[in-house]
Amino acid sequence: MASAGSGDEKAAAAAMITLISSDNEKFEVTEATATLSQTIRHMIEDGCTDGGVPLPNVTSKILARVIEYCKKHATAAAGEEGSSSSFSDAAFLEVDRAFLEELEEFDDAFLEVDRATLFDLILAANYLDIKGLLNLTCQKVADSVKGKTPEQIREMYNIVNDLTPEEEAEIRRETQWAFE
Amino acid sequence: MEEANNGRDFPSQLPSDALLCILDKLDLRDAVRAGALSRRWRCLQLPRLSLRMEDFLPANVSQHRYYDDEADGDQQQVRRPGRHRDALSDASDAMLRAATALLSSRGGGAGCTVAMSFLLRHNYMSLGRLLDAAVAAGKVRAVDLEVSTTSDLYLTDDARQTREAMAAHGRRFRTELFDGCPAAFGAALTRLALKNMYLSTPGDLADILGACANLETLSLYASGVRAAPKRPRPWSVRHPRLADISLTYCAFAGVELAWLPRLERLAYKECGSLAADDKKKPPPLSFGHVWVQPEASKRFADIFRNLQHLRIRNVHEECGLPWTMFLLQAAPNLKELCIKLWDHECDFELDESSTSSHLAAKKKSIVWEEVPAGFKHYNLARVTILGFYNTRTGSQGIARFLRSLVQAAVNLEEIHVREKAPCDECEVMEIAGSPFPRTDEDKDTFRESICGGGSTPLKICIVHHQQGLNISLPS
Repeated sequence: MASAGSGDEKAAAAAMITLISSDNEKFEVTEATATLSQTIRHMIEDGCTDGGVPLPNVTSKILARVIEYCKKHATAAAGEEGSSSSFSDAAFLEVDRAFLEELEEFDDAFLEVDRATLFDLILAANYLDIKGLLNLTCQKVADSVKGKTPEQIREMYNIVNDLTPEEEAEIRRETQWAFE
Repeated sequence: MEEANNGRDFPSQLPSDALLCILDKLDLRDAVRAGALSRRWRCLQLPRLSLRMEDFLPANVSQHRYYDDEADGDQQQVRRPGRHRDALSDASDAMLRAATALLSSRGGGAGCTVAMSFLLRHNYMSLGRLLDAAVAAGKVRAVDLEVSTTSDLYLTDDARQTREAMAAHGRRFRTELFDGCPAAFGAALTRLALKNMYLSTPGDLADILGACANLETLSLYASGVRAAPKRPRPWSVRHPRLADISLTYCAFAGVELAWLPRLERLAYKECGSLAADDKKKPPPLSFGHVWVQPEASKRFADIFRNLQHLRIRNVHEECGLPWTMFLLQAAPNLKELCIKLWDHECDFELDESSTSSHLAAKKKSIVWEEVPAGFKHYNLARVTILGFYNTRTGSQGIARFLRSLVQAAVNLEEIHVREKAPCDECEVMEIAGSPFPRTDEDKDTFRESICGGGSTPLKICIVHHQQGLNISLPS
C-alpha cells in the first residue's frame, strides 16, 4: 500500500480538461479542479468537453486566477472533508486547524487584487458557478460597504443615484429603522 | 485598490444574482440601506430576511453573556415578564420596529423566507403576531424560527430556580406564542429551534410537530420536557417530513423515534433525564443511554431504514464499539458513520445531577443482540473515528472494531482516524506514549491490523492533531 503526502498524486492520474479563455489561451487542469465549477461539471457530465471548453466570458488573466483558486480548494476537498462527507461541522470533527488556517491564509492573499480584478472574479465565479469563490469575493465587497451610508457607498463605487427626491424620501420612510 | 477606480461603477455591471449574493452577506440593516443606492439596487428583493435579535444589540453586548435577572426573579415575575428596560428589551423593541417596517412594506409576490430569532421577552407576542399575519397574507413562503430565553443553566447559581423559570418560559411558549400564532406555526415553518425552556408534557411537543406539517429541521437546545417525576412518559416523535433533528443538553424521560420516514440526520448530545433530581436512577433511555432499546431491533429497523448519516458522540471506552455494528444492521442505507470517542473526564456537563446519571448510563453494560456472523452492509462508504483511547486494550479494541467493520461493509471507501486536538479546558490530552499511531511504521501496522494486509482499494487516513494529511492510497 503506497502512502502519499497529499492528494496531488491521486489527482495526477485523473482525467485532464482543457479550458480556453476568451483570448484563446489554453489551460490544462485536472477534472477534480475543473469540477469545482458546477457549469463545467455539467458539461463533463453531458460529455461535451472534448476538444476543450471555450469560456468566452473569461479572459486568460482572470481564468489563471480562477484556476489557482480551484487547484488549492480541490486539494482541500480531496484530502479534508471532501464533498463525500455531509458532516461539515468542524467543531465535531475538529478538523486539522493548521490546514484550515493555511487555506484561510491562501484566501486572504488571493483577495489582494485591485477592484477591477475583484469584480471580474465575481463575474467569472458567477458564470462558472463556483460557489466558494463567489462567496469569497462577494464577502470582500460586502465587508467594504458594511456600516456605510448610501452616500459613502455611492462615492466609493461611483454609483449614480437615479432616484427622484420623492422616491428617495419614500425609501427613507419605509426603511427608517435601518438608518437609526 | 483605490487607484484602480477609473470612475467605473463596478457593482452595477454585476448580474442580479451576484448582487444578491453580496447583499446576503450583509446584516439586514446594511442590506436594506443598500436599497437606497439607486433604482437598480432598490429593485433587488432580498430572498431571505434574517431578523435576529442579537443583531439589534449594541456592539459591546452579547446575548450569550447576558444573564437574565428577569427569569431569576420571584415567581410573579417569571409568569408575567417584566418590562424593565435593559439592553435586551431595547433590542427587542428595535427588532419589532424593523420587522414591522419590513413585513408590512413588502408586497405579495413570490414571498420570501423569514428567519426570525428572538427571546421570550416583553414583546414576543407582538413579534409572533406580526409574523403570523405576514404568513397568513401570503407574503412569506417559508419561516425559520428560533425562540430562546436567557434562563441559562450555565450562568445561574441557582439551578433549581432557573429550571422553574425555564418551565414557565415553556408554558408561555406553548399556550401563548404557539396557540396564538397558528399561521406562523403552520405549513410555512421549515425550521424550529427552541432554547432554554422546558415544555410540560411530551404532548406539547407532539402538538407542535403535528401543526408544523412541513418542518424539516428541529433543534432543541437545553430544552425538553419537564416530566412529572412520578409518571415519566417518553416523547414519541412522529413526523412525515423531519429530516434533521438535533437535541443538545436536553432533558427527557425518554425519546422514542416512532415514525420519521424522512429522517436523515440525528444529532444527540449530552442529554439526560429530568425526571429526576433523583441521582441514583439513570434516565430510561438507551443506545448508550439514548433511544435504542437493545432488544428492539426489528422495531427500530423501521426508523433507521432511511438513515444515511449517523454521528455518535462521546462513546466511553467501557462501552466498547462492537455494539455499533448492531446499528449498522438496523440502518441498511447508512452511508456515513462518525464516532467521537469519549476519552477524559472534563467533557463539560450541565450540572451535578445530569453528570452522575449520564456517566452511570454510559458505563452501564448493555447486552446487545448478536449480529449474525457473515453480516454484510452494502451502503456504508465512509467512517470517521475521532479521538483515541489512551490505553493499549482501548486502541486494540478500535483496530478490532474497524477490522470487523471492513469485513462487513463491503463497499467501504474511506476510514478516517483522527486524533482530537488537545482539550482547551485541561491538559489531559497530551499523554506521552499514547498509543495513537504517529510514526509511519505504527501507521502501517495499524492499517495492516485493519485490512489484514494485502492490497485493498480502501483509503485510510490517519491524522495526528498537529499534522497534515496522511492518506493511504490504493496501491
